[in-house]
Amino acid sequence: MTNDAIRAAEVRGTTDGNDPEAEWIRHARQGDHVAFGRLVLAYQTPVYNLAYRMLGNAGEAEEAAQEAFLRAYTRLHTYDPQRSFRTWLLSITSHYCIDLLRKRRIIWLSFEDEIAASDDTTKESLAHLSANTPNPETVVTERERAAHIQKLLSTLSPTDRAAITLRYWNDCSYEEIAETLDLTVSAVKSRLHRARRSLAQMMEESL
Amino acid sequence: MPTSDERDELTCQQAPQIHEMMQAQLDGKLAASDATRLQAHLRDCPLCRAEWERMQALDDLLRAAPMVQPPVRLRVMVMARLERREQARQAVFGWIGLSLATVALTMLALAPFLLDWFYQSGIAPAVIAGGPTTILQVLVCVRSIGQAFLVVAVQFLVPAALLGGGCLALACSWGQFLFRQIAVTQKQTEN
Repeated sequence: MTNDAIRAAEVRGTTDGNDPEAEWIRHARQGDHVAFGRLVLAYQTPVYNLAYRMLGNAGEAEEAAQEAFLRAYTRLHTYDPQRSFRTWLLSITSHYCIDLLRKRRIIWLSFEDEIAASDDTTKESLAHLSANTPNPETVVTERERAAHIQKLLSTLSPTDRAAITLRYWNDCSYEEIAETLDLTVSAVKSRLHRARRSLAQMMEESL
Repeated sequence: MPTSDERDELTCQQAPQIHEMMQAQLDGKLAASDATRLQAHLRDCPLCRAEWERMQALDDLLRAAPMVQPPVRLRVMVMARLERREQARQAVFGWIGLSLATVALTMLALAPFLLDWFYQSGIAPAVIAGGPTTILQVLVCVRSIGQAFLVVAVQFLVPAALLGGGCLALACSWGQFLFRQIAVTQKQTEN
């Protein structure tokens, strides 16, 4: 399987008879771990990104992403092939992260804590953001911006945070977000609007 | 530029509709006619114009942020956990199978004694005399007991069933030995 095919399947996110992803899913349902590994490879970035944006911590995001994939494997028999596999997988991820946040009652992390984080995986993830910009000043700027975004996101409720992440990083439509989060389209619009206004106000106040 | 407190006091009467149009514009879903109307309103309304600039700044910030890449070990960790989970599941089924086999063998070992007891105590003749219906009811009862035992064994008593089976087998052997000794003693007494 070429990287282009994997990326194409990742962007498409839907299954059809000619799509290799449909074959992977079919084989994975029969217990083929290799096929499931290909699905993990195709979707690990959007799943991890969603978990990271919601949890704000690279270590927890990695754990959440692992758990989301394992849950997806055990629930493959419930997956409806008529539905987008990406939406179904992101739904599992978002619900797991929302439950985790509600249990933990996440408290907003300070801007200074984000910059001073000594978590190697956080640094690894943030470093990858600027992999092509070796300028030290740019690297610092990128890290500051990334930390600033996480700071803003942490002020939102878990569901609003999920909606914003799905809209901006997974390029999901209102309908896809509604399906992922078990909301109506109007509820999604309302949440996005409220979250944007809140974030815009927080951003202005932090300047 | 009004402060946030001043903004709370000043409101544009068309704010709800304008904000909705702003959101649609940010998401690329605003019709051309509504886009024209929005731009015209923003030219005339400083409050909405300020709000639009804030929303645009936020939109630019979020859109410029790339996807956070996962650590390279993520896929390896997922597959490793999957393998461990499968192995654990197979081990549990292995234990259940072993326990059930032990119990079955124990029951087979005890079968002659149980059947003898059923006949001596009059239970078996009564069941047989009751006809097929009674026999069926007894079998259903035995099956229910077996199913209940299976549920308990799966949930809690897998190792305990193995231990219990071993104890029963041991008791059976000792019982057989004692019966034989009693029979020999009785024979010697009679002689």
